Amino acid sequence: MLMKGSDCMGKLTEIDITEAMRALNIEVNDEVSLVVRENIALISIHYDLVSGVLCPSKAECEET
Amino acid sequence: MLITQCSAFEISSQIRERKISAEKVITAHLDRIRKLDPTLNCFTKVLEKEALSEALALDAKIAAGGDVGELAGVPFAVKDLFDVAGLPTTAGARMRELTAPVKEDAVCVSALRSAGAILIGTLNMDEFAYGFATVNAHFGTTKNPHDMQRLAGGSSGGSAAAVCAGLVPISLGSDTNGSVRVPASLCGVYGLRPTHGGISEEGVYPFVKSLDTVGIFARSADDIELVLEVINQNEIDAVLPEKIGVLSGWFDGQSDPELLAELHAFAECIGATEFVDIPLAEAARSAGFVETAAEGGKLHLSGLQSDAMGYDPAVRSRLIAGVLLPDCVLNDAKQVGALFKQQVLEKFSEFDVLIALSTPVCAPLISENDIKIRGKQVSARANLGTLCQPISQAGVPVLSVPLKRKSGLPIGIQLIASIGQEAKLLAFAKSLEARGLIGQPMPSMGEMPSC
Repeated sequence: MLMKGSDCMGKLTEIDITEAMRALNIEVNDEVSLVVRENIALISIHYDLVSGVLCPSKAECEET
Repeated sequence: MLITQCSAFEISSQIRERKISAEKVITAHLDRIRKLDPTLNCFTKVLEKEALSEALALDAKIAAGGDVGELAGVPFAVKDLFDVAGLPTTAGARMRELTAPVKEDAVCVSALRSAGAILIGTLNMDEFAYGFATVNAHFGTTKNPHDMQRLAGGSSGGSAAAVCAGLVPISLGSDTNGSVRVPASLCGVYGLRPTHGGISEEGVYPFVKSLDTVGIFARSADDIELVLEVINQNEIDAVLPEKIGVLSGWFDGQSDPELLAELHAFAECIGATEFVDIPLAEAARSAGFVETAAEGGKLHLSGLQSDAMGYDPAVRSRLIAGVLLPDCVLNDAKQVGALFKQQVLEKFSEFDVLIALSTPVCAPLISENDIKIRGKQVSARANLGTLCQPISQAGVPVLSVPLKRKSGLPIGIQLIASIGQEAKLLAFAKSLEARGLIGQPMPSMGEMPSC
């Protein structure tokens, strides 16, 4: 039986990079922020594959 | 045979039988390091005085009839993330050079020293082990001894290149997503990633704790076995595998077609006629990618807060991206990793060993940031470990062995067994060596100096 995923793609795509880094007290310049953004985008592509394996709701998991 | 071409087993036997002194062995290796390492850039630190002093002490002990261990006088070196008493553990980061020297050796370093091995230095790596290239903004790029214009692979590139070039017969590295198997493949040496948790990680700077595994490099299966026996203090019994399967499906699509054809020819030679598809391989690779960013990033939160710009630029942005990820991303990745592990372990009820290429391509040029896999341009630094990364999720032991090729650069094959089955892999590798199917290709880096 498949396990239930948390389906947090929404949270991932909504990350405000500048704000999130400020909240964590990480200081970098704009150039680095841009590369961080690219990396989050790449991670999102991989996460899409991960979340595709997991069923989004407990009910669907039970059906599987 | 030249001393620097000898195996660890041969060196320790000759020293114990008093055919050669430990001093002569260490001097020969130090001479070779002095000659070749300025170009290769394997070492971050060479412990010349300490190594010579230990060699002299060992010779005196032998002369006095004292007991010496199985690795008596064998020079070795470790990736610069193993604690070495008296040195700071840099983990490939310039910012850690000024940290306090550690008081004790890592458990596995201590085990090798207790068996008489002599530590000769620390080795280059990608900063904090985050990369498959050993391109380090602070400590430079380690070159491939087979072609100085090419990458040695990473992140344990210094460990693989040093063994390949005869600077040491054995070395230690670490493998999270393929950091032993990738450089072993590109440099044409043997690299063992044991069962996850099979070797103590105490005193080893972490990267992604749930995947980190101490690994061993050597030029033969015998030497890998010898080191593993010494570290784990148990003898390995030979068990030859009977049924071999060839990983296919997603793995085929990630491999250079010519190299894949060579893998299939090798498989035919050994009677491995069944192809094995593991449906979650691609998702497991992605899970590894996500897990590494998230777990690695979280480990570095305080470092990023205090000095983000002090990190290697190629590592910094990936760690920051990882630290920004919500926890749910990591949890989901771990769930998929666990599902994949279940699928892999099920295959071992049918097969004793599974095989796959270790890297999708041979060593790429240092000057090129990208590699081409089946016509698609992808980053070398992130993708050289594509074929290793999913296997890490299963926690099983993997031995990368150098395929004997008619021509061309080295390429490794992953021999994969179920949890705790290292003995099967080593016995299998020895049988393949005996048939002339695998073995270290000599690097074309000039003459091997006389010792």
